[in-house]
Amino acid sequence: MKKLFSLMVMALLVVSVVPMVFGAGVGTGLGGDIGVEEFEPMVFQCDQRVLIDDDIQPWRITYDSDTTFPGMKERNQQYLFEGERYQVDVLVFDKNKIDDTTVDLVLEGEEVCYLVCPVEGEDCEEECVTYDDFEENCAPIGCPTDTQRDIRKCNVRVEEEHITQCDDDTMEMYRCTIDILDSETMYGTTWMGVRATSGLTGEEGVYAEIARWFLNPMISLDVTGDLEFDDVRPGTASYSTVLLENTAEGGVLLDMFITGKNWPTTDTSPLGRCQNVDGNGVPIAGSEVNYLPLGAFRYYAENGAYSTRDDNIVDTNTYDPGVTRAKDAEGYLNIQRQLNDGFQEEMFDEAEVLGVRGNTINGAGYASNVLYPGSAGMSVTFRLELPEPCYGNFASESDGSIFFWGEAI
Amino acid sequence: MKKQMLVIMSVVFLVMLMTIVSADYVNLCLTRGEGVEFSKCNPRMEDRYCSADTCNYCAYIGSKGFYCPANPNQCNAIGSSCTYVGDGGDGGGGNIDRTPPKIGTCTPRSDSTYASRNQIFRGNVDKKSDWFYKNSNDKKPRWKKLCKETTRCEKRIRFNEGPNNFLIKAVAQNGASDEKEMNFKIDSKKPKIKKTYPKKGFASGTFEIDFTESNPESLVLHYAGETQEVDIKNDCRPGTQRKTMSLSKANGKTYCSVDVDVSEFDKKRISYWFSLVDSAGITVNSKKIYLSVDTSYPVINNHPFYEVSGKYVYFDISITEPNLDEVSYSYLYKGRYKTKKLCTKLKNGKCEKRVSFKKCHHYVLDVAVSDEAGHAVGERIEFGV
Repeated sequence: MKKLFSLMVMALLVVSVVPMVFGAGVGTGLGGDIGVEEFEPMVFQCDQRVLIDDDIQPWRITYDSDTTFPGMKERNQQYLFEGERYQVDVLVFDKNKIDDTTVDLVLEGEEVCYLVCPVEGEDCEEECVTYDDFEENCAPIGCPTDTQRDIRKCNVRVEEEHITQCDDDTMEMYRCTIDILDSETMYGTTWMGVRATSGLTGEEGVYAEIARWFLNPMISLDVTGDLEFDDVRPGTASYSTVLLENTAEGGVLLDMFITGKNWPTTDTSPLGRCQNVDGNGVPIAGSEVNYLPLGAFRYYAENGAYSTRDDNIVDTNTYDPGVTRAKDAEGYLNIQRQLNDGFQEEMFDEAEVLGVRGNTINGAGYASNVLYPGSAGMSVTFRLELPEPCYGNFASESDGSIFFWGEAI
Repeated sequence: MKKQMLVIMSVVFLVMLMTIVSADYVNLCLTRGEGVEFSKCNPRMEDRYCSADTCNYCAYIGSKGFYCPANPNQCNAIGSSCTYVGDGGDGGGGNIDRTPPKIGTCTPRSDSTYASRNQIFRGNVDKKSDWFYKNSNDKKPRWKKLCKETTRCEKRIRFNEGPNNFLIKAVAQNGASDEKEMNFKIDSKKPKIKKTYPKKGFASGTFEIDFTESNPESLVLHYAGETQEVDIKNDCRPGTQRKTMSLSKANGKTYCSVDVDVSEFDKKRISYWFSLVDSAGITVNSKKIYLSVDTSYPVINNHPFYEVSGKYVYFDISITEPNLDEVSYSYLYKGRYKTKKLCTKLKNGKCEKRVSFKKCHHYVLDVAVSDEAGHAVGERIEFGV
């Protein structure tokens, strides 16, 4: 037993001595620190940047199914509405490690100041609030490999170094998409950009192409004036002017359309009755009706250098086959009938307030037909040629008998 | 079973999706003056008011129950007819604004007096408004525009001297209004002290002042280290020491007289001055004047102090008075009251003088001895010549 104990002690001594033997030697040890740069991720906008319509009410040339040039081609101003989508592809370069980098599309809230006025006791005070940023994660879509996603379109440069090959250890392409929410959630001016954050170092980089946008601008189509025709003698022409104004925020353009309905009689006994006319105001022989036909109305509109005298839209009768758009010698246009409840794409061209071909705007619309915010408005003069014979009183329907449609472009 | 689950889940998803995307859009039609408090939907938004005959907003009711703006194309697509809000209802959203504005604090403040006719009007109201004012004290009071579409109005106004009945009106963009009345005074003319009495010599305890100020707030006599507030209502009158005037003609001229007990300072030298404060808080002080105090009255020591001899009357009056002003007599002669001096100095404490009177007449003389502090004693004597 004693021997066994002695052997164990010896063995322990040997084990404890061995490292000391190895540690001894002749020579010089070199020490030092190596610090790796905490690289600020770099973000490069890369080719594809599109606005996509919600497809609820597309304008003339909006087709999100168009793969060669998708998106809203008509939008020339910096505003976005609920349901619309902003999408941009970026290339992110992080020399530390791309896998741990998160990329977000950021809507940076701006400071908004307003006066708070207590009713009694104190003066008004200005309060400023900076609204929270909205962030939407961008989805990685890999290194650009084909001509569609060519890294050269990203112009990736690290100082003098121009990078033309995608290294998937340090680079990744992302698709950043934000769907605009309702105005209760997203509203006002905001700076939009793409930000990459290194998960290892916390360093952040934002791409150069940040841009300011107006989200969900408020729009009002204001009408001043009424169609009042008192004591009109049958067979005569009466005039009444209304003013249309666009009081939208964010520079929203309104594409204007006009439709109408017959004006029912308000008399009960006897019912008002008029000679019937067609869509051009031409009497229909042998036909009398208990309403004032829409065809008795025409209008003249002005917008800048153009007036309805210059209108030259060719009516294909796609919307209202019963009324062919035509101006008369005085430059007054007839009015398309309101066929269904809502605005329809078929109204394009046929029901424009004032269209002059060749005078285009935003790719496809008529510049003369656009109501600009902050402008003096668009004056529309209606002419009623009261058919003969005609008696009684007539009023517009409860929801109106002349409809102006302002389509936000 | 698996397939069935999938179908059910798909249906649920579709229904949920429908709920998310199908907000109820309304074509909100406002008439002139009506407003929508979109700020209740989102505080970043400004409230909107209709300044045309009709204003059309496409809107939906947000999660807080208030109207929020939407793209008009949404309303166009469904052909939404007008939801009018002018008939008392709010169409569903709780943020149709019909409440009148409320004017908060304003300056100039009521019941105050200001020292300058040029005052800066400052006011605030709880919603954007056009501001108007009317001064009822103007010759032709009428509403004048002050500020446009603002919650905070600040403008210099030249007010009338004297009382101002000033009305402020704020008309909000929804056409409703609020008014506030302010009554204040402008007292831009500094008070002026014209004279104080006594000017020099001796003080008996009576001090007087002539000043010009239409709105005197306080008048204080400072004497011998003491102060005495003058009761302006009872101790003052319109005019000057020499002339009493009607209030309308006095034009701020005021005379005051105050009596204080200075007996403890008798035969000592004191100073006095007045300080006058007007209702705008402007204070002016009169010049400090030094006087000797004399509170004792002259004493006539001998009776009778005259003798009649023919047409002459011999006055021999023994008087105790160190600060004699004069000895005089007054009498009524042929309907006129005549005053003549006997002495202005005493010789050995006496005033001796021979005076001739017209014959065949009965005289009633009031002999008066006065000192420089204004004290006087008198005695009536009668004799025939």
